[in-house]
Amino acid sequence: MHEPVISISNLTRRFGAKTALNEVTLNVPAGSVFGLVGENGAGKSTLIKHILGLWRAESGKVRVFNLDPVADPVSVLGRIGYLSEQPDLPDWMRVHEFLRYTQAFYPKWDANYVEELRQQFALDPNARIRVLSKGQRAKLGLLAAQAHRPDLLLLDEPSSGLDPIVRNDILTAVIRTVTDEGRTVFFSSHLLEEIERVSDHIAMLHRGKLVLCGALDDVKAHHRRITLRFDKPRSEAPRVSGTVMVTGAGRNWTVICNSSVPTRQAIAVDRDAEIVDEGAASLNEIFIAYAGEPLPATSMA
Amino acid sequence: MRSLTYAMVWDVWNRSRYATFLLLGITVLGLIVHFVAPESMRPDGVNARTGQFVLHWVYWHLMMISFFLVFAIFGYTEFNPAKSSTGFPHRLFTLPVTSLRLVAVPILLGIVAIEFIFWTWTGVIIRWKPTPVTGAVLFGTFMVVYQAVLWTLGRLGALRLIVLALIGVAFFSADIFLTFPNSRLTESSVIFGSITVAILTFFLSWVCISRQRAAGIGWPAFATNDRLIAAAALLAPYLTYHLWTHGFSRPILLGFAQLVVLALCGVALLRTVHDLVSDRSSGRRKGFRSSLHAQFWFEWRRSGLALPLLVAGLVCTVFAPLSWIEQAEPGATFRILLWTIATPLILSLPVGKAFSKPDFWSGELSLPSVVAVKPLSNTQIVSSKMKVAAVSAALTWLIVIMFVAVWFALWANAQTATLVRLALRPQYATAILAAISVVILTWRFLVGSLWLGLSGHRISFSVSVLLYPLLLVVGTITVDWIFRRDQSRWAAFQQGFDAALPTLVWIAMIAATAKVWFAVKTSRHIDRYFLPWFCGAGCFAMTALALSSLVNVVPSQPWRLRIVLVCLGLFAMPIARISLATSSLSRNRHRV
Repeated sequence: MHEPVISISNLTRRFGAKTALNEVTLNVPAGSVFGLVGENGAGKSTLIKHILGLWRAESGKVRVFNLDPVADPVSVLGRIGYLSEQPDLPDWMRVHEFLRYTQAFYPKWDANYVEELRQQFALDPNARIRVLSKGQRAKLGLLAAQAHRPDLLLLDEPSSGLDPIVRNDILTAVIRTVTDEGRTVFFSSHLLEEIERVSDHIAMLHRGKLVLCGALDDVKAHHRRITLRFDKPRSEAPRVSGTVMVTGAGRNWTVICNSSVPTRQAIAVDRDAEIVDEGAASLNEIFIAYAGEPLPATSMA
Repeated sequence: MRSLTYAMVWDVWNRSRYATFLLLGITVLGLIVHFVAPESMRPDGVNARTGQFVLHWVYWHLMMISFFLVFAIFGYTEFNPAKSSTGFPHRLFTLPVTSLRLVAVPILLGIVAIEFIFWTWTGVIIRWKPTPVTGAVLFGTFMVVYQAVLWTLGRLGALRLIVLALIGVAFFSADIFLTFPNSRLTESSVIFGSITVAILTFFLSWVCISRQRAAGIGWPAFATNDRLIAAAALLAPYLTYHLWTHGFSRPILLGFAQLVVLALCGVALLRTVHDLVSDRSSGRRKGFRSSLHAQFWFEWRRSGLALPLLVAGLVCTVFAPLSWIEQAEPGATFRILLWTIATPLILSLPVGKAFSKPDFWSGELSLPSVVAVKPLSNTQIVSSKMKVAAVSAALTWLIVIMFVAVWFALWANAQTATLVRLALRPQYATAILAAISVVILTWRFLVGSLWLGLSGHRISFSVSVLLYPLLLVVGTITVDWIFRRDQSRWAAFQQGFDAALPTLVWIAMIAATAKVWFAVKTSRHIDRYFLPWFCGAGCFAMTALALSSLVNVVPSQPWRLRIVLVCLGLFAMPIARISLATSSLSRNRHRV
């Protein structure tokens, strides 16, 4: 069993009256692609800032490579590649200057890999960063983040607001990193399709609380969507063991449940229900079930 | 809205209508006072002297407030969150109007407003004699320069105020120099120069706003029209010759046409130079030896050249021309020398405040994430800032020394130059010590606020910024009160200082001991800094001792004074605050 790359226990962070993170505990296994899901304001970026050591743990403990990122930033940050939603790049530099500047901090910088990615991303080395488009900035940020082949690639909503082509480029790069070298990727997103496509582990944050954490396959296997029809209209929701969310009215109801027991057993209480449809719940449905509110249209894609 | 121009005028009016009402109110008040005041109190009345004496204070203050209000109204800028800077209202870039109109409307409105207020006060209310035509032209030009600086130097942030203050002083000085009996400046040359500056600045604003509108790419149409530029380039040598030999052409419209053609040629030249520089300078091509070198380069590019460039700019635009114009005056030469030497020290105070922030050009006090996530310790980040400050201070003084050396060798007043040489000859060691001390002092002013700036604590940083003008005002008033108005006060001050000296010695020694103790306690952060600190403090102490023997201020207890000076030397070199800077940065970088 590998030691977790990131180990967080009972992490709590409050901003005034608002609790941004509430007793969060999670472990990120080495070599995994770990997706962090949550609605806007769920605490994803706050959690990532704790991992980077940009926030001190108010209570609880954060360890990255078994080190405290606040006490030993040099050792921790030297092994991390980080890309944020809006990469904070120095606008006054040129692309090649920025890469040279970043290279100086990482002894394991792979110049050939950088050149290969730069050409793949079609980035002009002489262009000033301030004239790059949003997509080009994201690509440059990603390039700089993984050019030193970090042990941990930390991506905070890397493809939010980007067009599908750029998003695909970024995802391809992420997948390649992992499949090629078995390194760890921790990335946050509210684009569930993206998470589902590349992650093998996921964690779900809802209003600062970790509501779900585990291997993606396990999560999907343990959540089912059951559509029920009753003989007579009913005013109250059907009772199914392991129910996470129930929607519907009258005779037709849909239940998302987290249960490993067989369906018939699970709805044993409501013997008059007919199972119209039953299947594995999608990540989107699981997310809505836990977050308790529908996702915006753009995130459903 | 009837037209886009009208809409833009309305926009200017709407965003500062209260200030405009206040301005009009003050001006109307001035007019009412002027017309209602009894005949005897009017400046142009029978008892003109009495009238001036009574009304002078009221008029002067109301007029100054009016001028400030006009400039406040036409500080036509807005914050651009995308660039984290304040500049030309970005939202107007999407309007279907040309860049020329975008620039021309606020500038022309500003000129009309300042001229209206200026003539109302000086022509109608105060009735200055002779008519201050030069002042009116200078005010109009300053309005153009003022708006151009605010729009085009957004990245300078609050430093724009220093730039504007320096330009304002230059304009004011030009008007003052006209009153000197032997001045080489004439009214027509100042008016001509001022209008030239205004037109060139207008064109420059136009170019810059056009480029801002196109995200830094491209030039306005007139600057890329090859035929226009070729014609301007052909005419330019003749026009320059004509202006040099015959002055500003009459009728006045012909003169303006001359200036416009020259401005076109200037913009074309600017474009050519820009294209050449952009093509040639492709940035740093070499790799870095280490992460510390990379961070040093980063800090240097962000902030290292600010002080040297400001000082070099002042030397080129103010001190060098002044020293040339006033080379016949020994007293003026000496004063210019003193100001040249004082400038780096004075400028290092405000520049040091900007320098102490995590990013020199940003109003944001949190550490930029591009630096925060780099595998650098807090000590290394602070250390790279301190090294940049040291090189910056050294380069600044190199510029000053080179200028003074060339000036004194070639065109300085011979009498003053001889006096300075005679004064320095027996004191070379002291002069060298003093020179090293001023470099260290400049460095100290640059890094002295790091512990506040890097803390990310906005209130304490803002208070520390406000403290400088406050101390300046209080200090000026105190010095004026003690030394200038009454000679007996100076004697009393000397006696009091003499009596307090034994106590001062104890206070200084205790404080110095406390400082060293604190340094030892916090040596974890600053162990590498001990040697520079020791050398710097030693240099200060030796300079203080050397100077104390030259200036015999307290004859009765010179040895006590020396102890105080040595302790002050220890104090002048920061140590505790350097240690605090690392802790402050740690709190800022790893927020609680």
